[in-house]
Amino acid sequence: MSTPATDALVGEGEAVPREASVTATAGLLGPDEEQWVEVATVKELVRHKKKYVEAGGEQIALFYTGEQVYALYDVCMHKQRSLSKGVIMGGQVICPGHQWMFDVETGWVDEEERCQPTYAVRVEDGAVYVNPVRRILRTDGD
Amino acid sequence: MTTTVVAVGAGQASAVAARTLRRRGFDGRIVLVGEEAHRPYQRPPLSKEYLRGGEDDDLYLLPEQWCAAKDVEVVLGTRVTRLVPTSRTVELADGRELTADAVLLATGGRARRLPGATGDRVCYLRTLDDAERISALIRPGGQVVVIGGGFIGSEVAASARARGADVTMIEMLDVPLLRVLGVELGAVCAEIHRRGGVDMRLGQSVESVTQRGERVEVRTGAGDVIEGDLVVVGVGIEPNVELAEQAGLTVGNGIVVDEHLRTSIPGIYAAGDVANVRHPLFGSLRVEHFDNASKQGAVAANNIMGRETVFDDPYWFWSDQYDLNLQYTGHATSWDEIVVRGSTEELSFVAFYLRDGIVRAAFGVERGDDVAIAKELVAQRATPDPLQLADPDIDLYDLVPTG
Ligand SMILES: Cc1cc2nc3c(=O)[nH]c(=O)nc-3n(C[C@H](O)[C@H](O)[C@H](O)COP(=O)(O)OP(=O)(O)OC[C@H]3O[C@@H](n4cnc5c(N)ncnc54)[C@H](O)[C@@H]3O)c2cc1C
Ligand code: FES
Repeated sequence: MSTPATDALVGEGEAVPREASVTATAGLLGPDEEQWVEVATVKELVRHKKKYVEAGGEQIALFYTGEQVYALYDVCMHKQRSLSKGVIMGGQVICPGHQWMFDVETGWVDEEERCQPTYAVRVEDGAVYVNPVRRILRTDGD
Repeated sequence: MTTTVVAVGAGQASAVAARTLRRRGFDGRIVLVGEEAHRPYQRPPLSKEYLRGGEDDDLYLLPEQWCAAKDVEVVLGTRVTRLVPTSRTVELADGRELTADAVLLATGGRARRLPGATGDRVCYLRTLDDAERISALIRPGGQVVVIGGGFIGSEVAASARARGADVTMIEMLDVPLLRVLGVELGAVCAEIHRRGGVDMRLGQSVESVTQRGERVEVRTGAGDVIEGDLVVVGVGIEPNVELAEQAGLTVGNGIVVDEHLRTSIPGIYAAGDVANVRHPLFGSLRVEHFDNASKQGAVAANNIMGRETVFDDPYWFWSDQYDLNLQYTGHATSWDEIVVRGSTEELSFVAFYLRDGIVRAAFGVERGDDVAIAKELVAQRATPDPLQLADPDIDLYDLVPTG
């Protein structure tokens, strides 16, 4: 969708552009290295489009769309259904519970004007890493 | 120029209309007039979380701070008694008058009454007040009699079971939801209740309902006598059309509107449970569900602002019963074939209703993912191969024409 492509802060004051998630090189990991947990391969995500993983005590739903990998908090903020059991269509994750539609990148639900937590993702040599710290990328409408 | 919008009824459709108007930058006056004393709230939790004895944080629709910040006036506990169509003036029960450039009629419906059934333990469920009354009467080990196996009756039965009450359900038809789902899938719904521990009395009419002190007695056409602490009647709703009728708008199974939700008189719109809409996929249809009210509220708001928008959503609704999530999309009153994907026995499946090879509707239990895709199939009038539809090894998404 048309949200700005700037990612949230990874470390204090360190903004990583979203594009980095596909083009990231080892040098970009920097001091936060221990935060990045390897959770999947790009190959399996290309095949299944989604995957449920756990990292750092977090329940995480991974999605693959438009050649990018995204990570959302798996537990739906509505009634706690599992987003990884939903579908991804047109850049939106659809919750199997009551069909709330989450922007895959920001977690924003337009009809509710609320945001599901997401996680920063990096891809390197075909491996997918997440930083298992929940973040809210949007707090209000328009 | 539209400078004042008045919405009659402060429910789901009106709340979403108000939100949409402000989000789209409408800076005129917005007034919602509602007969109920409560701030606008959602009804779905009333038969679920609320009856189970829990609270629901999401109950209220338009927080007071939001209304203040966005300058949306909500007049509560006040009925609109008259609509003057030529000037678009509404008269309130307290004598006030409001004149608007656009009026949205979103008056919803009221529970259909069972003739001859009276008493304070003969309950109906439409409002928050109703839910509070019913909730207070349900007790562990008590007896609840539910008349009607539709969605409201089904959810009340499930919630009463969760509270530890014995439940008997009386349904006139041979299976619940027969007209919506057909015999086979209706039977699955009956099975869901049986597994939930409900005593099902199917194919039985209600002869009489009599309250004696704190007990209510229901006598069925077959001669059964069922007693309970309370009876909850869920036999459908009647759309609140009186205001529209008296104003001379075209009315017939609800307020008749076109695909832009315009009534027969310019500047007057209708949305939600009360609106009988000309739908591009399904013809003339009045739907009594949450998502429909929300989406129509938004479409009405767009059209009021001059952003021409057609209501062409394929429809979708859910029902949560016991631990099961049921969903339905589309609309079908008749079909040639029902294709089941998954297992009805294990209560994890989606059933597609096909007519002339076209997917017209789908009903799923614990298959919200498949229903999301089914919605696309319905919207695109897809004609998938039934064998592929049923095949769990084929990705459903691959059957969407413009997937
Ligand atoms: C218990 C219950 C559970 C439900 N569960 C589900 C569910 O799980 N899934 C689902 O899809 N749908 C569900 N629904 C249906 C859904 O809630 C309705 O479709 C939706 O509320 C319709 O919104 P509306 O705005 O058209 O009408 P309403 O929400 O009914 O609002 C209409 C309002 O207008 C007021 N009004 C009427 N006449 C006047 C007047 N003359 N002047 C002023 N005010 C007036 C009424 O008092 C009412 O408050 C449920 C409904 C109930 C009752
Ligand atoms: S639980 Fe996710 S939409 Fe309701």
